[in-house]
Amino acid sequence: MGSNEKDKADLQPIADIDRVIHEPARFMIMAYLYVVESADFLFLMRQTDLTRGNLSSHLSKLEEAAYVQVKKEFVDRIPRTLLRLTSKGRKAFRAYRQNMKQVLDDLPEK
Amino acid sequence: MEQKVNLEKIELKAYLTYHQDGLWDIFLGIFFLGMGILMFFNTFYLMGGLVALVPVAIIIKKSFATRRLGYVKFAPKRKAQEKKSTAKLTIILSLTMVMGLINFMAFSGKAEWQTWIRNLGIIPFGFVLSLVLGAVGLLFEIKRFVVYAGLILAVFIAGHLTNTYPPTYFILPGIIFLIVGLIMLIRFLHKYPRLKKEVTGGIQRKG
Repeated sequence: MGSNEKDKADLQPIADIDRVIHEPARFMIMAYLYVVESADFLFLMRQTDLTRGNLSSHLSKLEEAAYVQVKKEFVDRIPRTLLRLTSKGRKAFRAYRQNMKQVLDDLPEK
Repeated sequence: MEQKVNLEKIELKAYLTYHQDGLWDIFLGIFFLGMGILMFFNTFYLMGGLVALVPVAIIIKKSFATRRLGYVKFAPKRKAQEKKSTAKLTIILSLTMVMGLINFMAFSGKAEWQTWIRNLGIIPFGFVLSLVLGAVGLLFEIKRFVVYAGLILAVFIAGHLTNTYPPTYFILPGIIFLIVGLIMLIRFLHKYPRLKKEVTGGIQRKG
């Protein structure tokens, strides 16, 4: 392996970072959904302090990536958007965590 | 800022948000005030009426917090932990009932142990109340309830030693719990106002 190829291999974990999760707001959403079984839109809004529009757009991205499953339902005639991580989303979150740990642990202190 | 992202803490924070509305404190305050008033009018036997308020309090609490904080189904680990805590609390409640019975028996007899308990006045009752409250605080991770438990015990002991009028033992903590609860409720309502249906509805779809 040449030095150029070795450098590339060293940087591979950084290149592999999941960009869908790597956005702070989406990371927060994923973290909250990771620790619960399911939650509704309002719960996420309250916990993450994101605005409705912001949360909505980030959730759409996570849904597009098939990380979050969105289910609309009515409870006492009130619309509720129930959200949960898909198994792909859980796997991606674990992989992201692992990846970040590796990248940060490998960095020298100074 | 060096702060690790701790997933367990995130989950605990979400769980505890549901106990920040001060409703339990208000119910507790009403319960203690009610006990004090019943004692004042010498109608302590009506205490059962106050206990009947518990299911009502649970229903109010459930719908109130969910409407403002949203719905969440916690992970099985949390649910299992809650079941375990409820089982432990049931054991403690059974124990306190036995203690209450022993205390009650002490009022009719001349045995040495009965005289000893009688001399403690209302302290054993305060001990039982603080034990239940402390257990709730520890088991359900609501730390201020542990402080309340300490306060109750302190008020009962101090009241007994200073020969204070007994209804005060209930009324004083009751007022404190009520004030704390109301302050928490005002802060909660300010922080989490009720949103319109279309906001809680969630994701906006394009096109």
